Amino acid sequence: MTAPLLDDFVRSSLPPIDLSAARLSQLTTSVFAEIDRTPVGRPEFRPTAMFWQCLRGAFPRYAIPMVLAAIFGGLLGASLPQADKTVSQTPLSTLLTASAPSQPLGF
Amino acid sequence: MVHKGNHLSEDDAARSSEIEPDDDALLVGTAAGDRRAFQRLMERHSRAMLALSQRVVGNTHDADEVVQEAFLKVWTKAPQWQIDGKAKFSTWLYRVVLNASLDRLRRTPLAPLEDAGDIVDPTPNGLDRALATQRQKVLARAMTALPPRQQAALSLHYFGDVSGPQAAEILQLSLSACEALLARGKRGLRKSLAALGVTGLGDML
Repeated sequence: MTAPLLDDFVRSSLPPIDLSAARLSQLTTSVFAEIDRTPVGRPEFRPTAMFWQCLRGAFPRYAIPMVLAAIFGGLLGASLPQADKTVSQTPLSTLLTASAPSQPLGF
Repeated sequence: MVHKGNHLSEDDAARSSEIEPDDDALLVGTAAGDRRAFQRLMERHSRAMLALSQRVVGNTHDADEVVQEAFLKVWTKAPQWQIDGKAKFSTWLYRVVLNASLDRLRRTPLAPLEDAGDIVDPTPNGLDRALATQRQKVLARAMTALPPRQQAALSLHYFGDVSGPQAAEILQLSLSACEALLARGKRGLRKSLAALGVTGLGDML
């Protein structure tokens, strides 16, 4: 079958379609009836969905990775060998006392 | 008075055509729950959608259901519609109706071709209608043997009242890719029809 013959065949197979005002009106009526019958008219109010939506709004998507990174960093820091702790540190008050002159200078 | 009245009505008609809102404006109204805007949107597009769907699915009942579901989707999704000038509402609606119609056609079991029925109405119009019905059954069978994208391209070309560029937009293809797809579809349809014993118009007489 050549291309024009194919086109003729397809076009000859198209039945007349009723697009009367009555049919269109019926369609409109059915759509509105369906809207009134079911809650598809608007997005439903679902408390659980609203809760998660609010939670997502309050915590941006990068907040959780940042918190996890902070916890991981803290744990890593705590697990490192802490050499400074072995050195006895002189309290600051002791140093001040020790360095202070027992008597006023010049006497 | 009559003359003046006619002038007034013409003026009114001109004014109303000037302020006739476009699809985007009607969608904004629909999103806000304005039923008149939604009804106007339906009135504007339902003819083309019913014609496309009925030619794809082959019967009034399924076409009505498909178009009804599409408009319900419009009502539900209207608040999410982004008016940025990039997407045309009619393109989106065509895509929704076409895909739903092709899905419906694939799901519907096709009756054996032998059951197409005898021609009971001997008048010329009756004969034409009966032949068209038989050809439509054969065509539907041949179309369902094709890959979905080719079916979509052929459906828009033969059944949709759209231009080539608009068809490409509906199928989300470039114009050249859409034309290539259509050419492949026509080749496939010819083979598919030949496999059913149809090689010309005379085979269905």
